[in-house]
Amino acid sequence: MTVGFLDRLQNPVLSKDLRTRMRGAKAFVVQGVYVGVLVVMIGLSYLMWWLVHRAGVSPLIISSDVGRRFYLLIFMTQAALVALITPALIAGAITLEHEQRTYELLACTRLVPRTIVAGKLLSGWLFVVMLLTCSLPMAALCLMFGGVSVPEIFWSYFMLCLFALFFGSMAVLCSSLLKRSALAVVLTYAAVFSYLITTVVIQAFASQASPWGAVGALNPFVFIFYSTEPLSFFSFSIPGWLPGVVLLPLASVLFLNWAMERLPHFTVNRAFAIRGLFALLVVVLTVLAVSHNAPGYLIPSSYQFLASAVIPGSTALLLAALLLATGNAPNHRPHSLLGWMVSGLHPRRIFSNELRGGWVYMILLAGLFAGALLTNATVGTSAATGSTSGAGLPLPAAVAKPGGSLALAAADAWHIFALIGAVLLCYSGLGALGAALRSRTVGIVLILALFVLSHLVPGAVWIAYNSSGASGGEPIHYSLYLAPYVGLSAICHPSLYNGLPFVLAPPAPPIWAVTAITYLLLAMVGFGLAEILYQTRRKNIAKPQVSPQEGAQAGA
Amino acid sequence: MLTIEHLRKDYGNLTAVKDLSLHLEKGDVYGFIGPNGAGKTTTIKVCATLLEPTQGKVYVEGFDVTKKTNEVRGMIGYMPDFFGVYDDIMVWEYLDFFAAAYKIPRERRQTIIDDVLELTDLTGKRDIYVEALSRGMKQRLCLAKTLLHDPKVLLLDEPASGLDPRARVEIKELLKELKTMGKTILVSSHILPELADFCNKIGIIEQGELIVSGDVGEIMRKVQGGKGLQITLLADVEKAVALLSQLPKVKSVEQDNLCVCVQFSTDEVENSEVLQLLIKNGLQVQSFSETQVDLEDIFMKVTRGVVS
Repeated sequence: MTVGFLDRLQNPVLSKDLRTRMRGAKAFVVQGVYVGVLVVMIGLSYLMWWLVHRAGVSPLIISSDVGRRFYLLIFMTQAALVALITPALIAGAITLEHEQRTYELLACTRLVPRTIVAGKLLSGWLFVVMLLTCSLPMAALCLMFGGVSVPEIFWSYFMLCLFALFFGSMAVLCSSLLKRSALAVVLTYAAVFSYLITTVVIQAFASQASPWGAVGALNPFVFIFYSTEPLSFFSFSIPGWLPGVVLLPLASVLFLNWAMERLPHFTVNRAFAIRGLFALLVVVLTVLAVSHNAPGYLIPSSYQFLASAVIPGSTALLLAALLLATGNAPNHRPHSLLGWMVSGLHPRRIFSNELRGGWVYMILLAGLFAGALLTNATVGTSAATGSTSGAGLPLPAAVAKPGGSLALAAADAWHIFALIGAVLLCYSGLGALGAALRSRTVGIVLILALFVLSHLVPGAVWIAYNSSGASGGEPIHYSLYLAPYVGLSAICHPSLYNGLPFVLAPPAPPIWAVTAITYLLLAMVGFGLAEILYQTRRKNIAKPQVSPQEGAQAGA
Repeated sequence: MLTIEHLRKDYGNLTAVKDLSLHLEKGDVYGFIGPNGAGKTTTIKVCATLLEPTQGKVYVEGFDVTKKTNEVRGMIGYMPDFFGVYDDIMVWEYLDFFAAAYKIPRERRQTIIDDVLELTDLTGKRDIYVEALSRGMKQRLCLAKTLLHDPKVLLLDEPASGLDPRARVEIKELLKELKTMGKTILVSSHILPELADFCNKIGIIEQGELIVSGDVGEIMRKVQGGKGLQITLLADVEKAVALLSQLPKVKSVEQDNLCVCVQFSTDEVENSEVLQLLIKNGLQVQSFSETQVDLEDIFMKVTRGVVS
């Protein structure tokens, strides 16, 4: 059956969903409510302005102030509505197919995951874009009052469309990961709100002086305030929309690829795209996070501890969880882990659809991450201050070397690299064990548990250790060695940790080395036990299945 | 056309299908019979590329269902036992959506939709919303959807379950028509009379094991073990029983009022000789026929009834 060019372009899922979405009163009610909310907000604002003007409380009312106020009100409300409506529209896209018992019929057709995922996302996204266009007359009102420029309005609309696409991709991913719509909607809202809060918090860490920065620009509410203001990128100036235009589509494509891979009843290999995009995203985010300089500004010491805890731990957690999420092998049939490790040396395997090559991938990412962190710290600082004092340090350099000299010793950089690598290996080793024991989900839960334990327990001990006057010697103090951030901080500031207890007689080895070796040993235990489990299962499956009756007959 | 080789499917510790093998030629209509939970749906889902086998292979026209999924999906028409329909969509739109999903060119879709609607007797319902259709009509609509891309193999899982007697008959008639169209059909059911009329091959599955599989006639002979005769007399039944018991290769002779059932251990018994013997001995024969074995008898004989 030959398929024409136009037939290739069309997406049946999109056509059907658009047709059914606009049918009946539902769509028009949503549209009406959307415009209604905006009208009420503008109306109230206008009424207040008019009352103030009439009463003569504020005789000097500049029209442009009113225009600006309307602009902010309209777009802030729309940003909130986009964050609220998009998950509700899209999070049920695939779960509803399961609930309506139509998914199997759909999966049995010749549709490919790309068509299904794109169709589901676009049908919801286009509806959100349609809602956004409904507010155009109100945006025109702002222009009439003044105080806001056409480019500001254009970029605000453009970025809201991109945010809708980003939130929609998150929703499609949640929808393909779960089987129930209610859970998918809750998970999407949790992800969207976590994102909105995290971007503000990270920007707050990066710069307390202003919420406007490369990470802040990735938050719709912050963006609307500063839509046309340039951003400081090391010693350069870039447009404020650039981080969003680069990162939001990148993250959306990552989520969509992940959704395609997780779609039931399809065997597609998207691991290359997922791992590659994730690596790119980590690097770009790191570069953006460290690019913002505020000369003369020092990070308060209370943040140092938190920041140094978050960077290696959470990156390792994300990478290891992602690796397991994209590795296909453990759930399907027994494989030899040893086989993966040997064949994993091939560079092509790094982005393959299995766990094989995963460990190489982890080390590669750790290297990229550490490299981006250290290079940017040094380059950024030199570009911004040209000095060797601690003042004006960009975040990672300040974290890595608080109060110390600027140039990090090469040995220190390698110690950080080795420590992060060991943590990554340990997480993936124990994750592989969990996956071999039960399933990929168990593997991810195991990693999560290890992450929480290795951060919470030593964190609590650390507080007790500090408050007890650094006496050391208690057995519980040994748990400090379990925390990657203690090792990381000790690399940069050894004198702080001199009092740490150690089982061996002095001279004690460096803390980072003890931590790295502990994690490497744990990784070996994880990989080793997983290998034994796989081998045992392989032997069991290889044995011919003999029923008791056949066995008895053979015996007779 | 459809080959299953040593199929095994495990769900954790539960084995749903054990070492199942079968082969269907073009035009075969294979009745897959078994109680609920026997493994029929699992087998059909593996054939429909919806489940991955734990062990074994399934081929549709030589294509491995786990490796050439997209090719296989273009060749099969799958109708699940339970399915839903989309809201706010008309019958023709529903079919148009699936036709597009099967990559049927736009210009051919309308004709094909009209054809399948006519075949399933739904032409009058073309512009009706799908959710307004009755259960039987929805079943026919699903069958229409299954036929859109003219599949070579039809996998029909309990196509008549939950239907009223009239709708059941309509679906049966439709399946007979598909048989005449030369489709290879694998149809499952736990209701035996549904399949008796039109299957040329059957397989009986219980607890995941295919107990019997093959040509209907052959299986019947195999299960029966030899010829059976049913004779009704006007009188002297005891005399007839005594005479018949003396015949060579007689396995059993049962008397039920004026009726005598004789079971031979072989098929090589001439009916005329038996009849002649009875008449020569002055017995008045009212009726004389071979015992008819139906699917239900076969099923009851070969299954142990463990699942049900």
